[in-house]
Amino acid sequence: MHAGECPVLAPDVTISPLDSVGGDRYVVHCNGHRYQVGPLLKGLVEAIDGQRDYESLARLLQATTKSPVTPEDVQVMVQRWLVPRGLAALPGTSFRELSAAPSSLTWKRPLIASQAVRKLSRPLTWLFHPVLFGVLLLIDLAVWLTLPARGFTWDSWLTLVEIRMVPLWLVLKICSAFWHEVGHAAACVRVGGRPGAIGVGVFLDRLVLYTDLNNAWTLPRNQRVLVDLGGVYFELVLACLVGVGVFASVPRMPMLFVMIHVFLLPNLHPFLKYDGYWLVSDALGVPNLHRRVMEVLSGLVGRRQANRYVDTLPGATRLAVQIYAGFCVLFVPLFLWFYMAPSRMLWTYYHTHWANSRSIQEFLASIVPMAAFSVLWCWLSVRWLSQALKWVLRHMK
Amino acid sequence: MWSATIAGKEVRVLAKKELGIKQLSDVSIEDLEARLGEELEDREEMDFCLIFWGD
Repeated sequence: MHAGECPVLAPDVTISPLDSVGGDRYVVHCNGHRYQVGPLLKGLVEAIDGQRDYESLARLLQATTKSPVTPEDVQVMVQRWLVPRGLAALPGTSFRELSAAPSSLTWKRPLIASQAVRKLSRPLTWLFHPVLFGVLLLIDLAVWLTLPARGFTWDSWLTLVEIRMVPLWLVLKICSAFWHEVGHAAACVRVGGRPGAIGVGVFLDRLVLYTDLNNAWTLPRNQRVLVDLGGVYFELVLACLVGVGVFASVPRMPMLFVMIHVFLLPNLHPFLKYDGYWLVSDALGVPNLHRRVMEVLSGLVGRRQANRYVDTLPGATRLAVQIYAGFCVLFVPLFLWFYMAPSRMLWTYYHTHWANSRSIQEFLASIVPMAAFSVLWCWLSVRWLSQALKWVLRHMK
Repeated sequence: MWSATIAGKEVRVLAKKELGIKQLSDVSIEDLEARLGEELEDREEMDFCLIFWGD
């Protein structure tokens, strides 16, 4: 051990409590990365001041955490945990530079800076008034109940999915997705959080709009739930505005009303990282829910780890995570079937063109319009599937 | 405070209760590090803005 060595803390490290069922947990923020840690690491991060060596840090930790921490323990935590993550450095060395924090998005680009997002969303926070929420729910229900009386039947449903309607739904979807993201940001501002940028990105094989809500980790669980629901709630607000048009017998309003709900529902998807996932994670108080699922599944296939985080959860929460893990397993084949829909479409396209072509040159000329799409989809799929496989294998160890 | 030798290395378990460790027999150093803390997943709450292109 290097007696007298005084580690130094990175300049931008901050600590905040993490509201979870995992006991006494904290979030350590540093350089765009966020770590959930227990009292030991939190106490150590707070104690490091560049003046204290391992011995004095251990004495301080013993006093604050009541754990029998030795200077060797402190050295292990500093050198094996804090230094590799750029949170601390040893004297005479520089802080380790980390790449950007991991993201679910293959590609992303901010469109509206965080400051502008806050300015945009602050005037809308009043929409989260509980009375208004109740009124909107009643309006929404009332519109649904009156739709059949206004001539909206099963045949009307079928006209919604006609190919000529696609451009209209595309425009509506982009607008409602933006409004949805503003809803997340407004909810975050409403509870005192600081939303980040709104941007565009690629998730799996599709274009998404996103709001950077990493700051929401510092909020209590019930407020995080509100932030999770903010997007869907704003779409409900939009639906109710259209619903007023339905009551006023404005043409096409029933179709628009229904379509907003069709766009709204997939956000509650609990398995991929849409709003439903965050809702389950925050309602249970279990961060990194997908990792917990992998802990449950690795136990089922005989790779039970002795120190699984999931084992530290209270019984009811652990059971809920296990049930969620079961549904995740059932969801995978369904997801792959839908995810592979473009491949089936491409197969039909190329097969038809091959059958109708008299020469290879004619075939190649006919598939040019679809070639770029095919390459892009294959590239996204291979990239995403390989990343998913690596992630699963790493967490099944 | 207790310790064990794993993969030839001395591992001191700092706080058994906090780290959620029941048995030390198959705990690697990497696992211990993981239990001290872990990176939180990115919180970019998203909504897809194109109709599913296979539908």
